[in-house]
Amino acid sequence: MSWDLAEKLKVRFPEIELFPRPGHQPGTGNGERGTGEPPRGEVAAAAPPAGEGQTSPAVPAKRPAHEAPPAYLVPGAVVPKDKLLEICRVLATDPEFGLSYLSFVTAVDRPEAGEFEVVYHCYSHQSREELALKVRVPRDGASVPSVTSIWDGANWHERETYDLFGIIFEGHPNLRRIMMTDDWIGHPLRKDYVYKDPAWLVEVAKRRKDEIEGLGLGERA
Amino acid sequence: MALRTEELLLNMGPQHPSTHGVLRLVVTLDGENIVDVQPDIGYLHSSVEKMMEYRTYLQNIALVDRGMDYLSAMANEEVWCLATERLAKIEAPERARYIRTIMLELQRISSHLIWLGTFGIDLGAFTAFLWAMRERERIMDLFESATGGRLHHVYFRIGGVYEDLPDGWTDRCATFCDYFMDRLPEYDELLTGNPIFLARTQGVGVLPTAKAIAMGASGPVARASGLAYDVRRAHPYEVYDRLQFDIPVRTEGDCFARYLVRLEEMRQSIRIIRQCLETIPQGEIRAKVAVTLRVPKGEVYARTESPRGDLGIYLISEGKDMPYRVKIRAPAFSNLYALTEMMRGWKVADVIAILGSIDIVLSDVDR
Repeated sequence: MSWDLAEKLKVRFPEIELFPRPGHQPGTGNGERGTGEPPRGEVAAAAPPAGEGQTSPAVPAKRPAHEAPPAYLVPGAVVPKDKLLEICRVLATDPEFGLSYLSFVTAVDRPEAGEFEVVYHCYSHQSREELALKVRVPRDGASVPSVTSIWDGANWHERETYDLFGIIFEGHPNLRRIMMTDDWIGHPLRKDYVYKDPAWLVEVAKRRKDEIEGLGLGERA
Repeated sequence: MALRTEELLLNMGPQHPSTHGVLRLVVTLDGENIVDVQPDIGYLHSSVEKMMEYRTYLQNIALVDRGMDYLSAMANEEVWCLATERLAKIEAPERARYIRTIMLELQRISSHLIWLGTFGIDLGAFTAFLWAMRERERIMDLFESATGGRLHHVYFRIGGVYEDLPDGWTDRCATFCDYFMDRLPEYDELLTGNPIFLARTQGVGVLPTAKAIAMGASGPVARASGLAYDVRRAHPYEVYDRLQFDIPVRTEGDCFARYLVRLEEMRQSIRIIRQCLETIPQGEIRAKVAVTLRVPKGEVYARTESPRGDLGIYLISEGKDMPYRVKIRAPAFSNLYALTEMMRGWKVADVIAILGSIDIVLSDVDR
């Protein structure tokens, strides 16, 4: 996990905004990231200066979570929506990046900010580097351009994101629901989507409960 | 006068003995030739990602066991614990990491055995299924004595494992390794040299390397297409960085190559288990972690090599005792998408062979 690719992309496209880095210590930070490929090593290397003698497992248990420094462990950048396709094409085809493998596409609902974050995670098998991209779009009428023309594998991932979040992927060859049935109402992974049992199911559950109580098994609960 | 022909739309599934769960394949046929295949999924969708947002980090271990790939519960627990540990900066003790590695490799063998058996059945070889189940039963017994569960273990914890191995478990595991290595040549006799099996798998359902990468295929499917990539080697977790093992790669990209890759992976798994059993240290098995663990704000992507491929979890925490958002990158989901490419141009009778060869588990696809 290195930030090299993200920094290279920042040079090429100055308008993108890099993710916040873990630790925010530019001097020591680069050294750790260069040596420790598996994050376990990185954690071990970072723990002594940060914890001041405390063992690392004790940190989350003893300190409230909101006091711990945020840990953004995925290198990546927030890109503007209109630049997405151009950036993705460079990432996938330019040998300098070589990110020919798209791990997944998903989204994160941020209702307090009134927007969705669409997340793309790309990977290169040659350099073993990863890079995440985020696009922020408003929640109302959310849409982003489809990247299926660049990574074929995005097809189903975009369908899933459309299905579960309701984000339109413009130019997608077959944007239909994939997990839920075609007549489903709502998009389940939105934070404001609350599952409510249909009336008939509530009725059945109530009847079952009465039956069980009639059998004298109520004390089990 | 030319004979009027038209394409035929054939529904296979959702209730079909060889769809390995509830999967519907909408196959467009021109005579016997496959023009197009559209898998219809979602029958097992339980929105695990949504449920995880309403459960604590500890509770989620039990959820990923059941909600994700049910044939490799250990692999699911592993990826979830790994993501949480990285974000919360918790390190599992040495012994626990060895135990986890052993369990993961046993799980890989048991999952591959199920695949081997059902693949055999798909192609009409019934004996392979019985034999594979016989071996798998021994692994289930090992799991049961260590974890109490046969399919769903809830054995891994954030920062270690639930309990130490029972007395004599390592000896029994070593005995199983010897037993299993004796049995493996029998599969060669049963399937590898079987002319019917060869005729139905060799050269069938070819997936070229470039297509495999572009379509997001991973695991044995990608390795059979010439992509020499294994997360255990590229981004080692637990103790894989200090173990000797080979990554089998084939370049043919056909069903037979996928079969050979998985068969060799089982041998390598035994190799890994034996090394772990030799060098496993004594000591603690769990780091001190609060039951209501609050993970610091942040984002992490943990990836592991599950029996089916590149299994990842993208975890976003807002500093609460429950995750803000979890994205499960399921290997079978992407592998099933690659199926559309593998099937084009083959005969309708090959559908079963090709589908069987990619080893999908529908609860992994649908989550």
